[in-house]
Amino acid sequence: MTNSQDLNYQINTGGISFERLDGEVVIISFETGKYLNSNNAAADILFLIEHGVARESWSRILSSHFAGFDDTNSGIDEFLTLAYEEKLLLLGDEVEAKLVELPSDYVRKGWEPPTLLVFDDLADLLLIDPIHDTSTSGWPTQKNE
Amino acid sequence: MKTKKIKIGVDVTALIYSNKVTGIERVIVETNKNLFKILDSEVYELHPFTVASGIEGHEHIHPYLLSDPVFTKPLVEFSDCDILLFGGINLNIPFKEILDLKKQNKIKILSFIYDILPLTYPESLPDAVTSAGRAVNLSGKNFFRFYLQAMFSLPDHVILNSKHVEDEISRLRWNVKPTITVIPLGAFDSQVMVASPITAACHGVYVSTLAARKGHEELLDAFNLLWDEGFDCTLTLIGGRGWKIDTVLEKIENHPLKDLKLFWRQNLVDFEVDEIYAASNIAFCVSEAEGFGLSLEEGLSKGLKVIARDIPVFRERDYLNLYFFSGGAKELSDKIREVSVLPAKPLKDNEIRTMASFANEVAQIIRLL
Repeated sequence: MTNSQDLNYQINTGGISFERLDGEVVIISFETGKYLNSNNAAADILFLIEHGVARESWSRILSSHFAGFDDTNSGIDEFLTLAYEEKLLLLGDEVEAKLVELPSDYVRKGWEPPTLLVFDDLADLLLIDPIHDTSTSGWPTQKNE
Repeated sequence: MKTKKIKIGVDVTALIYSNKVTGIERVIVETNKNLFKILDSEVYELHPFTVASGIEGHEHIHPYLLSDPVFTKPLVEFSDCDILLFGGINLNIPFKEILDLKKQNKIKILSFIYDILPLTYPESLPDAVTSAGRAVNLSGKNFFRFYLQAMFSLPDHVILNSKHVEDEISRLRWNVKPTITVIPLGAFDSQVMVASPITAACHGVYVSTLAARKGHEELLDAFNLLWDEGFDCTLTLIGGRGWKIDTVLEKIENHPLKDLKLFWRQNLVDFEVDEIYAASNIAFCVSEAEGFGLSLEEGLSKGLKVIARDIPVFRERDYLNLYFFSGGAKELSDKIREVSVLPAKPLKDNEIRTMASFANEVAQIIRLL
């Protein structure tokens, strides 16, 4: 069995919409129609993959940003497996070991395992406009129409 | 030989589902009405479609929606259309099917994005809940991001309503694929009403859902200052109850001048709103943030002077009778005193931008798709 540490991943850019804001990533999978939302640590893992940083460099980078990071019990492998199953990641070519600066778009504290929330049935939710939607009396109506 | 007409599908999912009439629904309906008139019927057909056919509509459709000549036509399949227009906020989008059609070059997509306030003002948002009232583990901000990312992924062309929103989107530094065009909205009526006669008193009106960031509290505080100083003025607030506004509502409900000099009106039909405009001389646009702020053009087109907060999106407008204030309640009360003695300058018809102008520019983009 291949150890996931030996695998190189790349973002499935052709099949997803993937944007980061305030340390969170929101993803739409065009292939599965699912919506996904990551936590901060997952956003950073995806950043490292997106920037072609080899897995062997991750521990050093993450240790320098997160208190209590432990590579042996980080939850990264589980996250990568889920992200691959959800078709967010593809297997890629070998990438180089390098150090990069993680984005400073949120305050990092202790390490929490990366998570991916998958929303696959939001039919009754996604029709609701969260900001413009108001009560039925939110705007004047027309007479006799 | 008769040429096949270009079939434009207008997404009416949100109209069917919500059956409500807020600002966005009005924009959709007025755009449809105007496109119906503007686009050459020998070349284009407008049809409604929905991407959530499993969802039941309402038995009693909102009367205003029935004035929409597109909404009231029979629904068509989106796959039968040549152009899809997404005007409302709707995420029930079958990405794969639409992308497949796009890849085959069978479909073009045009979408409106009104603002990104849920990203820039997340604190004023309620958390997402389902239509059944079920809470989900999803913030209102991230819910909106789903929508926004979808709208930057699928369309060929996205229409924004202000340069301000375009700038905010640029600052996100996202991978925005569609062509973006800024087309400002406009007043619903093309006929500008005669300015009200000059009077030393201020009869103010603010048409806006009562919600966080809309500036109602500051406006009320400004009028409290004026009333305390014995200034002759009234304030009418028109709009439904929004969210995170309990403190302001309490102040209104318990105000000693309520129904004497301070009025809050809801559930009005348009002619009742017009009557209040006719009895007023200053309209307010005091929101702290807007994607556009339609009530600015509405107030001006009703012959009123308008006092708007000095924020970039309002500064994009260049109209007679439009005045700006910056600061807090004191500065606003000073501006009200100053503006109340100025005459409202007469405006010509179409001097205030209208929804017909908006739809005309949308039609130009449709012709180029």
